[in-house]
Amino acid sequence: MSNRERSWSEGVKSRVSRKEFLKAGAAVAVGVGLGDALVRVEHRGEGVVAFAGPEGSIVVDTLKCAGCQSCMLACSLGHTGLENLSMANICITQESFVGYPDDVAAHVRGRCDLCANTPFWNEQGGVGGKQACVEVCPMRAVEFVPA
Amino acid sequence: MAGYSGEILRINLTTSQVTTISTADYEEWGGGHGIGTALFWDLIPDKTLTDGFDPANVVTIMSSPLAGTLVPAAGGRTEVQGIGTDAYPTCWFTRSNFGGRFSPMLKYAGWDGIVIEGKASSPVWIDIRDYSVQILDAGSLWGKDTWQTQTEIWDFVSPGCGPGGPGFGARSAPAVLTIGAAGENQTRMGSLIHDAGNGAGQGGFGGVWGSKNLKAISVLGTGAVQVADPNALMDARLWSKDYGWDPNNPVPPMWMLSAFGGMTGSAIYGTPDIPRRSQGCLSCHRACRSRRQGANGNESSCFDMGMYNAYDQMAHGGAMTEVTFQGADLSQKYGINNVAVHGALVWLHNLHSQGIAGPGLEIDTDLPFEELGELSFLEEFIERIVNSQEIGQYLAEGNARAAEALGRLEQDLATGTLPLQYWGYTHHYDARTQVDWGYSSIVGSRDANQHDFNWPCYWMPSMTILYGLEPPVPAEYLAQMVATACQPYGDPMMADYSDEGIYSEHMAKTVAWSRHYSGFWKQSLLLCDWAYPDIFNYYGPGMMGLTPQAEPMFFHAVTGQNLTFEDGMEIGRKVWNLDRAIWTLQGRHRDQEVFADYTYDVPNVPGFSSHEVPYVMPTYEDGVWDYRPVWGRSLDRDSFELWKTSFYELEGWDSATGWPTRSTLESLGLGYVADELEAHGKLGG
Repeated sequence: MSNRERSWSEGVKSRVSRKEFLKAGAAVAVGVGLGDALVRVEHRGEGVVAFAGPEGSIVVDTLKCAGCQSCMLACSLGHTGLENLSMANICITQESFVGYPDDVAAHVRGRCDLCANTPFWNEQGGVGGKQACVEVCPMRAVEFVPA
Repeated sequence: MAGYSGEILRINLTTSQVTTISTADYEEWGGGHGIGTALFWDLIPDKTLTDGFDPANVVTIMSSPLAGTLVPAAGGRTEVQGIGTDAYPTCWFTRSNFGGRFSPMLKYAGWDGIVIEGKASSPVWIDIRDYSVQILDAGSLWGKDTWQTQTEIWDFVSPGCGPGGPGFGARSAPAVLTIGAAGENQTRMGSLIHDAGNGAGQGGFGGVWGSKNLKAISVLGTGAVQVADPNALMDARLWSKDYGWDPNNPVPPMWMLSAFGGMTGSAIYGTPDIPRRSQGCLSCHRACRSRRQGANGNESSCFDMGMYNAYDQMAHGGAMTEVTFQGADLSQKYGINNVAVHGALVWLHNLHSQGIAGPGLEIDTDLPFEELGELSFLEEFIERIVNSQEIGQYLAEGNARAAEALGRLEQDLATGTLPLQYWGYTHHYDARTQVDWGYSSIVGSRDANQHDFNWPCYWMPSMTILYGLEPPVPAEYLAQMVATACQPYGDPMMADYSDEGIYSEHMAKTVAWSRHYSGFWKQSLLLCDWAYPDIFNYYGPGMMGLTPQAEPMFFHAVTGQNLTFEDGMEIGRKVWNLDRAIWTLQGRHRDQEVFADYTYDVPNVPGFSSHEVPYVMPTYEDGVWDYRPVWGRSLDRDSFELWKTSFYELEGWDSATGWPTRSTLESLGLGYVADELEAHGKLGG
């Protein structure tokens, strides 16, 4: 069965567009995870960027980031069971022809739930648990700092 | 099956027809090289063809079921196959591959691969956006370097996402594979380039595309890859993290060149004064390349730097300068195989040093050798090759044909002045010392470039001893590691590189194992050669690597298929036999499988090439395992011929010819292949 035909168990089509996905996800409870459409971005210097919500911050050291996007793949996989970069809450973008350190940028969406709801990952997420992006990053460039 | 997108694009450039092939019809071949070769077998009208520039050549560009997923060092590679243009004397059906993000983007667009047939009447590029496929005029792109081509396509497909554009950071830029001047002008050194530093260099596929008037393929995909067991994949990825480079516990420098646990790019490539990051292909934990402040050498690695590094250092008091990195960038922009350029540089420098090449000399050239080591020399040199100017008119035909045309081939191969050890490819690792590299190359189609035993059996002991230290594991223990990883053979003697061992039946297993493992796990599922197989791993329990446990674990998690490691090796043997059948139809015979004469007549000298250190390898002599120097060795012709016989017998091929036999092919479900060989009078008896 090709990607076009198969549906995710909860009815989301595998070829769902980013727009459809965001619309469907608007129902995620406010107050969970970063929990805010307008997440507070704090540039802490030396390439370190924090994406802060009421329960804590996902902090990305963009100088260490290798641009492998494993964090995005893990986020998508853990939450949806699919590999789709558009479905990730953490977003690493990069530019091949630009020099370090301006070649990589990071963003975390306010809808990030700190992996509180990751049916496809056998770990406890949320504030007291683990975050897939943090765990998978080979450069140890991502961390969660509780509020 | 999960992992696959379900369809393969088939594009005929002569008719502009775009159709599809069901991947399900080819899933038994795995992906990558397996499916690509099976497609080539089915679609090429004449399998005896040896001209890569012929419009009848079929090129397959394949992803794998693991591409676009979280499998470490397997998410980003793309495999290319077709009739090449660079091998000498025969352009064999061959392969190359490259990293980055092209194959994942292809998967996200809904495609498992692309078949290219025919020839366009004028330059074209292919614009793929999910299920929309257009063949567009490339008149405005032809003549532009590979980087400029890509940024222009990025801006066309995703306006504003290029450098400095308002969309930068959105990463909506398509993944583009393109040729540069070396391919457009149909030199035999043309490569395919993706992003800044990913290249399918060996084989000469750049010129194949140039002959088809194909400038570039662009892919933008917005979909997803299905994973059969996402929980298992997450678990497997996190389990493997313990085997990967830990910045808090870095691998000692002498073991930096190892597989899964090897050092990342920022630690390998760079100069102390220029800040940089490690940079990796999609989903890769090793991040074996770098991006540097000032952007010189972005995403280049290995031979990209090795092409000109030694000359840079020679010219600048032993120091590596920006010239090395700018030189790598030149090769990427021109889309030229930097390994072939390196071979040409070594040859001509040797001749110049011997008073043979220079103005008015036997090889009459006004190359500015006094500038060798400067960027200006390299740019002039590459310009002459891609434009077939002066000495470049010969080099554009590849190094071996250039030497032949200049009347230097036989004598320079006899001495090693021309370092082309196997099939006209530049000497990479030495067939006289780490023999399995050379043996795999000569029974294959090109420089094998598979580091299976190169990391653990060559670099690990050689670098350790060079640093004046004890190797981390004794030779006997390393032999046991090889036995553990190399199933189904499980033979520790496969690690014996002694003067006797290199001609033994055990070394036949070493090469067969490498061909079968590469045939499926690496070149079909596209596990990266810089991470797999993982035999010696600094971080592993007892320093054991994660082969053969990891490969089937990852495959099962993504596809849901219960394939053992040994099952995969058997599929690899099937792919290898299909390769062998194609070469047989192209005219292969065991009598051709001989190295350049210097391999037999000239002892290996430490520092022969610019990148090898003196060879110290595991050996079993007088009942004792130890690491012993094997430099100074040359191969014995008769002993090598005996080794070939034992290898053919192990593979179930006719030892008189090297041709596959019916019984071997039928045991692999390839009776139809045996039929075709028989029809051509090429079936092994």
